[in-house]
Amino acid sequence: MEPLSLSRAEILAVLPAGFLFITGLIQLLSDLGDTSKNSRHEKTHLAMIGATGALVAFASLFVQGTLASTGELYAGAMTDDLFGRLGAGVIIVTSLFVTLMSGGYLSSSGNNKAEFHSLINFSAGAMVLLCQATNLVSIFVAIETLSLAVYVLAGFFKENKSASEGAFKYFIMGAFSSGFLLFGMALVYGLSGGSLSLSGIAASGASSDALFAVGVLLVLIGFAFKVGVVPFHSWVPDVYQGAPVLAVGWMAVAVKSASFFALCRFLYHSGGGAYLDQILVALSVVTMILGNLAALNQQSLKRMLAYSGIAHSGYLMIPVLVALSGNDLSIGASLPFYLCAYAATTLAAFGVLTALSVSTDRDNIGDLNGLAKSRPMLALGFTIALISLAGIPLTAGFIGKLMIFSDAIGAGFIQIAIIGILTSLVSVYYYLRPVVAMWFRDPRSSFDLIPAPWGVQFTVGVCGIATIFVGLFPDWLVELSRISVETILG
Amino acid sequence: MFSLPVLLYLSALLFSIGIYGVLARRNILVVLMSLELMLNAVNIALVGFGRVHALSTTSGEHSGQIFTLMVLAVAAAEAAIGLSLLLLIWRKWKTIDLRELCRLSG
Repeated sequence: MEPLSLSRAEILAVLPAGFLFITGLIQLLSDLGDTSKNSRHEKTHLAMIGATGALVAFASLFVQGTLASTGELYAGAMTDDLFGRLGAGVIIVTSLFVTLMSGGYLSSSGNNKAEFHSLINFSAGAMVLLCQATNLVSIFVAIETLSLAVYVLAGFFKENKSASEGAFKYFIMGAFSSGFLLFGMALVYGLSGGSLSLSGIAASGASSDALFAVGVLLVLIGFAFKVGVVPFHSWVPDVYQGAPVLAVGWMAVAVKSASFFALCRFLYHSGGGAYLDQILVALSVVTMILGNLAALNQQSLKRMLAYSGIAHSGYLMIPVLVALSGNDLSIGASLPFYLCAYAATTLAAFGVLTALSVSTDRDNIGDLNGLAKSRPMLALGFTIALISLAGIPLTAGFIGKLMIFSDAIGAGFIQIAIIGILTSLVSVYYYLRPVVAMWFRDPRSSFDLIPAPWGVQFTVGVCGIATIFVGLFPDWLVELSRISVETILG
Repeated sequence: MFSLPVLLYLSALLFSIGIYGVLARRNILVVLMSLELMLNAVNIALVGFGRVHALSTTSGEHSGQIFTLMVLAVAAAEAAIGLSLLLLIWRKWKTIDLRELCRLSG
């Protein structure tokens, strides 16, 4: 038994997650001294603590200074490669924006409590660990920690019946999927010669074993629940409609990004035999088709974005499949890029939804009529987000879809690329409906739009500009994604 | 002592009972118990595998047993969240029947 000692690399590897956890604790403690118990105040200090913590955590991502993987840390429990750090970067930036938005949003409904801010930071810390995890135990503990925090966030508005119901459905489905994830992990552990670390599993060469393939499939099902892939998507629309808008934005961006980063790392190492490719193809195709078709006739913006999120999970399965089947990692570079582009775009969209929900409970597409006249900048930000989600040129979403489909064609999955292109053509219809409503319709009913809180305006502006900027100058991010994917195998 | 296949069959059986309970039962308390049953069924498989691997490898690692301890801690935290959500549902609806929770649909 060697004495317990930490190397410099091990300490640096946990700094980002550590700063996020500490920030969450400070936010909780700082609210103890607040005797007024008035949850209608904006409590700017909470946002400032959160923003400082997120910026420090983001800066600590650069401390390592080298792009190369540092190998396995903590006896193989985690690593500090560029792939993990890119995922951590996406999550930390998302948590920064959500923190800035939450004060104004929560105080408008009288629910501004420090718990919301600190739960965001706790789940962000767990997600950063999930991106860096290289061991079955650390993956499981990280995914459970983030899930438990997000269950509470989904049900944060206690007086709201539909929020409670959405949170409970989310909890049941999430815990159910954790069972599958864990059973799969037990089989993978048992059949790979007793190895918990991903590199040990890869080295054991068990991927031809049928029971091992079942284990990998069960883990895949567990992750499919978390990211909302058809047929494991039934909870998504209900939760999106019921939960607080900001919690939904956090789930849509951060939970999905972290899960895909971890799933990608797991599948690269485990492999999964001949059948896994076909199952991934089926999941991806069904998700793209059903997600886009179900979004077509939704009247509620939140439900439309829910089905759109499901469809985007389908697109994201393609690079996982491509990289897994070809074992050529450079070809799977579209996954980190697409997640970065998707994060910026979706944050802008949910920023606009947050701004609207400060004023009104209604979220029908018809309620957007004439928004361009009353709130031109908000309408512009939403338009940019929607055309980027639809994949129209000059936006980040277009470059992301282009990379995914060209990767698919390059790896010989031409049918999937064709289905993906056709379904994204269909999606243009429902993404443009709100745009038409905002710019070309007259206001139907007049409800007073309260000016959006400053954090929301800031987020919509920065994310909208980022979406266009990445769409015009994608080269640096493409290169970063390519290098990061190559660091997975060390 | 039981052999590994027996433990795995027992684990799979308990896991299936848990799945049935979550999908078919309407009482939320029973659903929560079924969720716990699923996690604990996996613990049996983990301990079984862990014992086999601890005997077969020279290093004598007990990683399966350590994984089980982690799962127990996570299951306890999950039960705490689940029961508090159950309490919230009870206060709002005055029922713990899942059929009553169908306000959202479509």
